[in-house]
Amino acid sequence: MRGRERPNGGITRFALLVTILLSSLLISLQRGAERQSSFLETSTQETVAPLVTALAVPLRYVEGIFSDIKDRRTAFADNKELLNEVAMLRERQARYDNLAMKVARYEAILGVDTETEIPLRKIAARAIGETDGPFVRSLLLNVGTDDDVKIGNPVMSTNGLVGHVINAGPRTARVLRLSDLNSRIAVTSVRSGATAILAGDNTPLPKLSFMSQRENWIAGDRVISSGDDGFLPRGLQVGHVVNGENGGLRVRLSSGSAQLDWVWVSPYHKIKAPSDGELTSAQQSEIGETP
Amino acid sequence: MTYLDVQAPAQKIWPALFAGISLFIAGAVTVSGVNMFGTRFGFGFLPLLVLAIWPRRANRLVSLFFIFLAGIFTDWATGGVMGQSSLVFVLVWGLMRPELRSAPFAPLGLGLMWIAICGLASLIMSMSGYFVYSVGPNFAVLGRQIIIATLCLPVVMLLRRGLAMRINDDEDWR
Repeated sequence: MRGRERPNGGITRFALLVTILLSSLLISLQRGAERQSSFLETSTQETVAPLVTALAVPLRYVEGIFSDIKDRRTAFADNKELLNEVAMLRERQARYDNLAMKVARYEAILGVDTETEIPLRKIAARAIGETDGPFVRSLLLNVGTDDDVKIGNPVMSTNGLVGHVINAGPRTARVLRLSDLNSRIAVTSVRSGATAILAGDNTPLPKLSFMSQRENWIAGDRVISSGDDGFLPRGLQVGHVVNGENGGLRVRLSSGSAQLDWVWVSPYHKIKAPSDGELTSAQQSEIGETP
Repeated sequence: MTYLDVQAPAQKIWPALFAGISLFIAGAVTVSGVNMFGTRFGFGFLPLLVLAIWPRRANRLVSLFFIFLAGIFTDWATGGVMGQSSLVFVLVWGLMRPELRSAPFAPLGLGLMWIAICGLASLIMSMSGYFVYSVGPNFAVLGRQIIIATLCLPVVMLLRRGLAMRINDDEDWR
């Protein structure tokens, strides 16, 4: 009897070994694999959502206290800065109105379509959970497929692009943040038009890689989504280029590490690649077929 | 039990079930965090608090079953590497051996054990994460998670003591 009750003896030790091996096997299966969400993951996310939503109420209260203290401390400086900004924006607004009129006239003459494809419809959502782990950076939203949210939809805050939806259940959606290790989006510099891939690398400043023209990227450039990947519309505000260590360039995200509460999902439909048997309208007109 | 004998305490299922459910709840809470002083403090280390105060007399097989499942559940909830939390939980529980610790907790002993748990968990997380992503962990995030969990440790201890007293301060729940 005493032998059977030995601490960590016999069956327990064997079971412990089995669970360690099983966990290690699960981990090794994900090495180098593409991130895919399973039905079980979505179900767990749905189960956890009510608890996290309930927990968010006292947490937001605590956050409110800290943010109030900070806001009061900087209120005078903020007010001064905002007044300067308003004066500058008034001048810019006047210039913008003139330019908009001019561009509209040119568009009418040339007959070009310059729409940015950013959907006008916005699905408002609340970030009920935020995983900021040593390897994972994601958000849990309180909207899902019932609200027309789809995998791949961009998620924005008032400051700029936050990430895109990687997993959607009926009432919840998980968002992969731009700084997550698995995040890769096509971006462009507003100043030069040069393109690159913004790759999250587990730091607050994701790096620019696969730059089309390295010389056309400089610190301070405003970065927007290029739409080249077909997953995100062109023109979403991403951030500004900063010099990184070892001569590389990184992007200070507009959405940053600021506290996220309300965000919106843009129900953007990704561009479908034409299938092999499908002819484009240009090809059809070339061979004389009516579309 | 004979005098000066090395006999382990009898194992009970109820404390294991109760602790297991608590671990599941703590796993769900890891999705959350709090923003203070312009930075985010995640709750990633809260489940380790439950493991640190695991009942001594909890049935070991049932405990292991719950701990493994709670780890998988936590990974699904946070969208992390599947198996990472279960490996951390199982190894922490297996190496800390709750059945061998004293009851009630000695503050110094608990403190030292908590430091060991945090160190071990960080090491396993870093190694398994590096194995999958070939990138080191964000140590600042890990540090902040440890700080917030450490601040919660006295609160959890008080809560545990309160609950134990409500259940007639039974030896099984210590």
